[in-house]
Amino acid sequence: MSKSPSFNPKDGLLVVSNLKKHFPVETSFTAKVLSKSRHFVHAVEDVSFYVKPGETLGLVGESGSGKTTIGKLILGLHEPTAGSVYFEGQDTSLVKGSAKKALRKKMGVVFQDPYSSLNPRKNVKDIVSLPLRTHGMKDHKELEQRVTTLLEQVGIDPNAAGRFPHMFSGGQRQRIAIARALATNPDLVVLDEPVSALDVSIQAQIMNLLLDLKKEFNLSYLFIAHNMSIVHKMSDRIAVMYLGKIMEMADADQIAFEPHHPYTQALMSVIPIPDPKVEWGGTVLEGEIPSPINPPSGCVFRTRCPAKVVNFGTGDDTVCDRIEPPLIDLGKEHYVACHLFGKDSNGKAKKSKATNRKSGRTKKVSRGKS
Amino acid sequence: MAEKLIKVEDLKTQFTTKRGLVKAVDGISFEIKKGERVGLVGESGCGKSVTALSLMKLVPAAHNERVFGKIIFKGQDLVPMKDSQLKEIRGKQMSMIFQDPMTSLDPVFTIGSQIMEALGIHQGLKGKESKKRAIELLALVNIPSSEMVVDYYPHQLSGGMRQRAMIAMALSCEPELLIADEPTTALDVSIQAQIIKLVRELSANKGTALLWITHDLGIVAHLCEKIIVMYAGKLVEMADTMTLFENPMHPYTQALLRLAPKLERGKGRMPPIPGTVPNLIDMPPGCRFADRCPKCMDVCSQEPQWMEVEPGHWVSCFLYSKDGKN
Amino acid sequence: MGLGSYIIRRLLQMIPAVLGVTVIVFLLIHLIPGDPVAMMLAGEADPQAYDELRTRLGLDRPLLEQYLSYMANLARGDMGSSLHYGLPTTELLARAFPATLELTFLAMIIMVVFSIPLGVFAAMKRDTMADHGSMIVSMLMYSVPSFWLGIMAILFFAGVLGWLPAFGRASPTIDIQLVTGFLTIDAIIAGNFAAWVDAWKHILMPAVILAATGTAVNARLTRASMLEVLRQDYIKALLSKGVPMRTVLFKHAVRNALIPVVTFITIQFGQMLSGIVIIENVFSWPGMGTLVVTAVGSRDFQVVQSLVLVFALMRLSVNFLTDIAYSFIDPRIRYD
Repeated sequence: MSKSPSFNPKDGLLVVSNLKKHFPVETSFTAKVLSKSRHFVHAVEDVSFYVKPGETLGLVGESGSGKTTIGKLILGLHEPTAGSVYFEGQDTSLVKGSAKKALRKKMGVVFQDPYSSLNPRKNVKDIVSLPLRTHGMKDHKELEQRVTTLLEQVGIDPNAAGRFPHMFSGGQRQRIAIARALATNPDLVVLDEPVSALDVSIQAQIMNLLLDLKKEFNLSYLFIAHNMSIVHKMSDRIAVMYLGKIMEMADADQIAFEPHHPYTQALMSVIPIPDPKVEWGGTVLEGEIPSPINPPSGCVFRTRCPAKVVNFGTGDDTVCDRIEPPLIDLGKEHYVACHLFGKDSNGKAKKSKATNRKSGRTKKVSRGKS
Repeated sequence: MAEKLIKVEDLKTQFTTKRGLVKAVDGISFEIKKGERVGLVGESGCGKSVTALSLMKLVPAAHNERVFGKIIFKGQDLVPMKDSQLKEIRGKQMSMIFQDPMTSLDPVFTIGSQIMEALGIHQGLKGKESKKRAIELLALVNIPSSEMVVDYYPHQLSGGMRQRAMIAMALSCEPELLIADEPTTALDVSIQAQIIKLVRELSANKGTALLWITHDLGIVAHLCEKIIVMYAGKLVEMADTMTLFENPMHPYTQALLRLAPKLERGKGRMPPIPGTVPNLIDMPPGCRFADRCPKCMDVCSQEPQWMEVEPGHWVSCFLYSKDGKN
Repeated sequence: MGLGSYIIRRLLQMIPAVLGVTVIVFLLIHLIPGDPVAMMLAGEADPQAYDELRTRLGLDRPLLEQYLSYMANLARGDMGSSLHYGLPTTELLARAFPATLELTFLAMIIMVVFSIPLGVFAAMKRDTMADHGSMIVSMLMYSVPSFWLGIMAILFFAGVLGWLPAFGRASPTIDIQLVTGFLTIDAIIAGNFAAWVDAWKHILMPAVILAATGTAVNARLTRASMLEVLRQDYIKALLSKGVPMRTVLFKHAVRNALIPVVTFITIQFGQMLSGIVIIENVFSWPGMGTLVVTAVGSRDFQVVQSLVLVFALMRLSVNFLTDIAYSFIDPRIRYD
């Protein structure tokens, strides 16, 4: 049963609908012979979201949350187990042949590691022009011109186009990777941890560049990262993921300053803010993320949730143990998957008492800023 | 006034490589008091990890390394010491945890046997007694079912658990100084929070001084009492945490604080530092931050002095003099 | 998962491999270009002899039936017989197999005993004269073909110096009861000291030459593996705990460095099995290598077939033993 809302494929430039990806667990030949049951890694479990034109959606989560898999599913690098990815209203799995190629042209990607994502044996010109050549641009002059423009846009001296990746620093390589992603004039760029491997001063340069490019070319970004501060800085809206599911999705400031879901609240309270006056470590989650091979029943976060509903004495399973909370709409594009936030009989979202629980962080931060 | 635990004087660590002499650490001086928690902050390649290894005299011998200067630990200079003398200090009075918990435990021995090894060397514990202590130590760092985990191999534990085991090992002989080299960089933010909280508690309970090396100003802001900022092999600023965040003096510290990812309403570009960290081979004379510094002056082609411009606030920049601001 | 069930699992995994080997070995005779029977008879154009041999080999029956009877014979320990020697193949093997095994075992022991300490030593003395010197010597050993080394050794030690015999397993005057088939052990059992010395004199040169290439390569690999391990964080972590350098090197580093070396020794064993064909012939060692050359030369296909089977089974057993050894060295294997 689907617990996520099904968005209209025309709701955004990119619409992801009840997306699911299970990877079979690698087992040895004998293990396969001896036991019939096969295990699956539930990497992405019923995820729905949309990215509007010109918007940045931040996808944030810790390792094992499935955020990178989602990026790959969108780019067609993995086949979804179930669900659909709609781009400009079209179901991408139904697009075939030359239309598929045209579709790929509209999506760019930048990966985390600027050292392994560029072919060390190709020079910058070859790397940046590859997507153009793939899409049929043959004229040498035209290619050269486009590469020059792209390199200038990302702040790389076009005279260096003949050099090889190892002659550039990490930040410069990431610029080259961005130029390659922009080569085909895409509408959507999937940014998978694009600044995580970089130093603070370089990080800022790349983030600025991405913001400038977005403005200039009216790009939409899917910004995947684990660092909440960076995601917040870059995104209009943020989806918080845990164990393959979206826990909360809302406006970036809403997530950062008025988080509703206990997981988002906990996450926000442990971000080390570089300011000793801001309280830190209000809610330190105990334990570790459960195995995605055998995720908990009911709410996947319940094993670590500080707000979990507990049944005293009876020993019965609680609602959190038994029922998977649906991702419900609280209005104003604010979605949350938690039993603290239910729907009343009219189907209208209602906030339970617990909504007043705010993270200690929020207060302190706002005081610090006033 | 707390007692001095370690005093580093004009420490220099150099490697000879095929491309030239690398001055990874180039004349740094600072001290740590007993029980004090100090953060050493800098970007990659600034020499902060080499500093940590130099303090433990663990700089890889393969690179023809040389360490100059003085490392006075409880009145003894470690620099001229031989391995046999260092054995009495390493692990017993000063220990270290590393960045990657996946590679800092020997994969072919159990967690327990690796803890027991240190207990055997420094406290002469053997057999059952030693194992009992190892289990206690694992429990101390909040590892669940420690009596089982003691017999696990490193690969059977998650990154966070391994880092806890590393901490248990490092604290097994209750050292007076714990050096932590980016121990949470490889971990998720919620696990990072667990580790920081644990180290903060243990340090407070046992009076262990801490040298926490990181690129993340956010962590040291909440963990350390004093912060040292390092750039291209040299110290640029040192002050107690509150002072450093409220009144950063060095333009590099100011830039780092401005750029450190934080949560603020409203978006927009951040004024970045232009350029990159300079190459540590054949470093030009003068201030190393000069070519990226917005406040660069003619005098910056000379070497700035490391001086205490206000009580407890050290900086090396020509913008300041010994009497305070210019 | 415990070691016992791991061993059982690995044994079970060997079954398909062993069956595969028998199929390939069985098909060998059919894969020989041309008519094997005609080749075996080599020009004796007697049609009656031809038919007789064909029937004896069972080549007139359907393939599956042939395979099944081949397997049934194997199970009874019947590997056919040699046309050249006029003896059952099993009898030939009973003589040749221990000779080869003794030589290979000794060569393996020489290789392990010399290569690992040499590699560890070179790694510890990295970039010194001793390191460069030992690595240059090992490179030379690796580059020189073993048969040439063998011939040179014979010329020098047997010819010029006269210290060691040039060929064979034992002097003709020696006569001892064979128990294990290993002369160096049987001589002790027989209490015959002269025979013992004689056996050692004979086996020493071929074993060293057989081990030479492997020792050289393995020393280099051990050095590289050791250097890799010494770069690891856990080495620094161990030193930071106050563990003395000697303990770090010999307890922790060597054990980790051996993990890839053990794999490599298995590969070396496989190469030794091909090397032995040459070495045995150079030293006229009466083992399977000499036998296989004679059998091929005399088109004794059933013998060749059986020898290939034995070689393959030896290889499989060594792979199995390596995996077991692995699980002792590397705890990650057993639990995966």
